[in-house]
Parts: sequence; structure tokens; C-alpha cells
Amino acid sequence: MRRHDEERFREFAAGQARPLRRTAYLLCGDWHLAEDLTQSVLIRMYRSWPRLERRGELGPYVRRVLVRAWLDEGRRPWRRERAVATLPDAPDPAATGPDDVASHLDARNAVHRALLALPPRQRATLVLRYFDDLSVAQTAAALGCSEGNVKSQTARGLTTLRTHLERSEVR
Amino acid sequence: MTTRDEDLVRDGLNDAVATEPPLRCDAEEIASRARRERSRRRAVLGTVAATAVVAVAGTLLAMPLGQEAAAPRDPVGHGGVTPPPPPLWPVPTADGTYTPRQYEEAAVEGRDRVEEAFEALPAGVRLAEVSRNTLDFDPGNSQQYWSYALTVVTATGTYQAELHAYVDATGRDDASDCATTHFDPCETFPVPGVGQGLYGVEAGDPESRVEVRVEPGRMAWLILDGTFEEPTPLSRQEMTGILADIIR
Repeated sequence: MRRHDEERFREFAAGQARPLRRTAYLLCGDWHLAEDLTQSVLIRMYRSWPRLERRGELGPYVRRVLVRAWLDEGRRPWRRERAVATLPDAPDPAATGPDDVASHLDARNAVHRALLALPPRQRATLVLRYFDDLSVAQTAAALGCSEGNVKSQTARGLTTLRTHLERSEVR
Repeated sequence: MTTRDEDLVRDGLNDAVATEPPLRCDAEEIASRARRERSRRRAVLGTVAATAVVAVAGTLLAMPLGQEAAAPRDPVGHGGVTPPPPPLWPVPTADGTYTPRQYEEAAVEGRDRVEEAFEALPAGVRLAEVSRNTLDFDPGNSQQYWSYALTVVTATGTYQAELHAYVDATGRDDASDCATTHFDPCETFPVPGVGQGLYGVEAGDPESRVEVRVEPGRMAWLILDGTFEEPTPLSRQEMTGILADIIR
């Protein structure tokens, strides 16, 4: 890569590493995995950097790569997680795997706990819309789906999230 | 869904990342890792690079003067400062053939490049599936093919495609289906920094085809099955971009 391109990439990586890791953490609920995902996403960006920079729209694009990397990670048998019907009542001290991440979060993070119980696509939609503040069109681009699909996933995600939160308040 | 719900989610998500641990890596480290990974890939692909240099040098020496134009080019203009990108296809052994290992390494690299090429396309286009034809290897032959079957999803539907790459250690070209009567017209166009492209759309059984030739004996082509409603699910530019990424 040419020196100028390399400098531009460093600027991009320096500016995006922390926000990307936050997004990744909200998706997966594990700071270590979030850091790994962030690094692997930025390395992928580096491979095609001059072309990607020419194309523009780097913010939504890098989130698209991140969501795919996270979904791919979830497909690995040792990382697989499932959406659950009800949230766990209390942390399980014996639990260490990503499946059990939701149970580790304290009550202050009730919203995040509820989010982690959503199916992956709904979770990603809510994170991109309400944490990364992407528009419906940008979220659709990042997820590789239609804008209508983003709207329906958002509505379903919010409804399910509210249901989970109400259930956990009742207990 | 109410504005209150949306505000609740926004606040909750911001709370969740309020106490984040320090970042373990910085931009320089990421760039260094990326460079190391690239070097490693180059090393894996270049298992017989030294032999190849000797073979290529021998070939050039054996050429009559005036034929140097066929020698490997530096399409991106790095000159002598930065090494050119690694060749996708393994250079042949001294006898002009390929070992199973060389072939397999190029096949794996090719698949990675297919996936990366699709990631660079505009939103709404994605590669749902890619599989490789593992029966392509032809031991002892200077000509080799790598073939991949693709399932491509766009805003208008799901389409099947084939991507092929071809190399001949002796520099012999494969025949162009685009330039035959299958495709009329077959449009020829330059692919900057790579080589020459050919593009055709078959109307009777909707199918679009792009071929990219880097140099004699090295080409890749993509055949995309369209429909009568959508005969060209990807544009010529998009198809050419994919091939340029594969064969660069």
C-alpha cells in the first residue's frame, strides 16, 4: 500500500476502532470477542483499502463487514448462541461461554440483557439504528436487506425488547 | 413502538458501553498485523517462487529480442519501490506444470478473493454461497482451471453464477466464448491496470458474461444467469470489478 493510503488507513482505524468495538460489544456481549472482531474487520478493510476509500461511505460499509463477521462467528459451533424466550434470573457463576453472556450483565444493563436475547438480525438492526444512528437506508445497506425489512425488524425488535423488559421488571 | 421505546433503547445501549475496558490495539498495530498477514499469504502462495523466477528468466532469455512485452507487468505502477501484488495463480514448476499443492493453495486463495470481491460491491448485493469444483485439477498439464459456483442475491432476486479462472504456463490463451456466436455483440473494453475485458449478454437464454484477460495465458470469466425480467442482475462494471479482484 502506498504511504499516503497507509496514513489514511491509520487515521480511519484510529477513529473507528473504539466505536466499532462498542458496536461489536453490544452485538456479542463480550469485550474480548468485540476486540477480536474489531481487529479482524479493520484488517479486512486494510486489504482493500485504496479501493474502498475511493468508493466512499466507509462508516456504513465497515459496519456491514462487522455484522457479517459477527454473524460468521456465531456460526462456529464453539461460539454459537441462541435467542432465548425468557431472560435468565440471575448470573450463573459457572457460566463462562458466550451463550451465557446475558446472565453476566447486571441489572443496570437490563436493556442490553434484553437485546442479547433477541435474534441476531433484530439485534443488529436495533444496534445500528439506535446506537450507531444509521438511517434506515444505511442500516439496510449495512445488513444487505431492503429498507422495508429494516423497518419490520426494528418494530419487531422493539416489541420483543419491551416484552422482555416488562417480564424482568415483574419478577 | 413509541418515541419513548426508542429513547429507552438509545439510553440503555449507551449505558451498556459506558464502562468499557481500555483498547488493547492501536491503528499502527492493526496495520502491522495486516501487512504480516499479507506477507504470510504471499509466502504460502509463493512456495516455488524461486524456481519460478529462474523459469521466467530462462524463458525471457530464450525469447527473441522484441518479445519482452509479454513479460510480467507492474500494472499498478509501483515501480521498484513496492513489490507488486502476489500472483493469484501459482507460477509453474520448471517443467511448466503445477503440483497439487500449488493448485490447492491457489484455489483457497481464489475463494477468499471471491468473497472479498463481493463484499466490495454496493449494498444489496451479496454472495449467499460459493462452492468450488474440486475435480478441475489436471496433473502434469500446463493448463489449469479453477471453477466456482456462486449464488448471488441482489435487490431483484437470487441468481446463479459461475466464475472460472484459467492459466496456461506456456502463455496459450483459452478460447473466448464471448467472442463466438454465443454472444452478439461481444463488446471489448480496457480494464485499467489489469488488461482487456469482453462483455456480452445472451438474449435468448438470459445470461451475461464478462471475461477479463490479464495477459496471454491468464484470464478469468464470470457467467451470470439472469431472467427475462432481469437479464443483467449485475452491471458490466460490477462483474468486471469482481474479476479484476480475482485475477489481480
